[in-house]
Amino acid sequence: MTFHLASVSVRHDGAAQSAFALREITLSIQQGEQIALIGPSGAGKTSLLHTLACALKPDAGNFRLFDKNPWESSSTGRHALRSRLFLAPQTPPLPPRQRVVNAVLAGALPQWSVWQAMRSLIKPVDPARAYEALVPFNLQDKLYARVDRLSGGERQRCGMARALISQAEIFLVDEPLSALDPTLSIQTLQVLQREAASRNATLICSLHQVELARSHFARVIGLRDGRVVLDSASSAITDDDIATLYRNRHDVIPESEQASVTDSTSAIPHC
Amino acid sequence: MTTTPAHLHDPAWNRRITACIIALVILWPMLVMAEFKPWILFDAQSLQATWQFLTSFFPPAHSLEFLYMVAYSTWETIAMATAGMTLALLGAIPMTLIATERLSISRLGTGRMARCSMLLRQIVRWLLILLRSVPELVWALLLVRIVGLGPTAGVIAIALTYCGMLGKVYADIIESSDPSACDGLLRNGSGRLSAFLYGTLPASASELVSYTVYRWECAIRGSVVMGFVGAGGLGQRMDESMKMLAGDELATMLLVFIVLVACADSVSAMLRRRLE
Repeated sequence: MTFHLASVSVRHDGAAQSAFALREITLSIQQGEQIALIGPSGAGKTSLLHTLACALKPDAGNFRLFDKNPWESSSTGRHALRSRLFLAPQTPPLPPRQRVVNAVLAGALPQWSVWQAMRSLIKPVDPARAYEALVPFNLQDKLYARVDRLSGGERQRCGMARALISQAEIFLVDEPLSALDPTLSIQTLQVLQREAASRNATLICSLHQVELARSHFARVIGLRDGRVVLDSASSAITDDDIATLYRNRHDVIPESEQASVTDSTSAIPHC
Repeated sequence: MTTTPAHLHDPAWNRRITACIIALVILWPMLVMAEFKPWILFDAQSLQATWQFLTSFFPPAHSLEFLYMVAYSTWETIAMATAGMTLALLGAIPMTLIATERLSISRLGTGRMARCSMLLRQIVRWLLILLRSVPELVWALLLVRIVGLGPTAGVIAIALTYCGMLGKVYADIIESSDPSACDGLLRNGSGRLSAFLYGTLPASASELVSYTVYRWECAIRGSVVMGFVGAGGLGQRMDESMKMLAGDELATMLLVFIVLVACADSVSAMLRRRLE
């Protein structure tokens, strides 16, 4: 079992008094699964990805990664676990003045010694590897360009190329398509899915494109107000489910759900 | 004067006025205490003394022998500043890497650092404060007693004080740069130093370099001041000329000084352009 969450609640920034970002999440995810994470803005998609990546400590509940609770092991042990997963934030965290080759090769840093990292800054140690990671994204001619010369979409795909370099067994990708046009979106998604399948890695992708989520992923998880409100095979999801998931907060709400919605209006949107 | 209608009234205005008044009230006793009386500069006696001293500046001394001596001491000063800066960097870089919270792994996920690493960070911070709170002139005076007259005392004095300053400002520059790149690498399991090299350094390299060059410029100035207490270099020559009231020699040395600072400035500008 890659992930097992039982009634996991998470607060923003791990601060004691802030509002809950995730409430009582219960989930199991097997190795090699490909899952789309959908839900309205501020539903807690990013928080869930961060929790899965050990970048946010759960406040309550039982969280297990590779059948271990990472927050019970030492900081070093937890950090070793982190090198087995790859978290790609929505805005690719690439320094503007870095060259693409270094930005991509940085995906291999957990495996490199500090000396190798330093040497690669002077002269890239494995430019061929970076080149091969850029080819599926059609960015190979930008190998020695600087990151700030890239467009938003190119930067996003450059961040994905870093994921291909990493030795991760889990990809946690936050809205990889937010800066891409529809054609590129499908291509990029296919590259990620092929890569994950070829190394039997788990792929969890948060998406705003509901149609892509339903057509490309076997399993879809829907979040709303920090709760899992939908978790099923994508073939079993109806348009009604989607409409309920994305229903505007100010629309008319049936009596039974009123309570849960009103108590969460104080939640700070965090996406 | 027209009064602004109530709904356009800037809510920050009153607070700004109050802050201004408070600043003035605090500043006034300080000026009195510091015996700040600028008008003394302009009474007849001072003006005449200034005039006499300034006229002796012209023409600057330019005998070949003197110029050779100035060139030699200038080189000694630059060597002192550079050697001191190198030693300071050797201490400052590791201390910066320890002191910056940005590179903490234990804070990931909780926002709180582990207790012993926090203690280590705090100890390094205190060490940096200790090093920079003693002025380099005081270090130099102490060291002249220990290692004797000459540039060695100046080099060690610069190394100690500047180590503290560089470490503090480097840490501040790193903390104020964009955290996302470094955090992204740390969250994916890279080591602290690698995350620093690939996440923080590209974003803050030009600021770090320009501050280092500026500090080198300060070190040149500092080494001159330390020359007055016998630590060698241009300062010692300047001290001798001052005591002999040789304004022409002083003028030459000050001109050399302006050239040195201008050079440091253009080196800094060049390096910044390169790193842009």
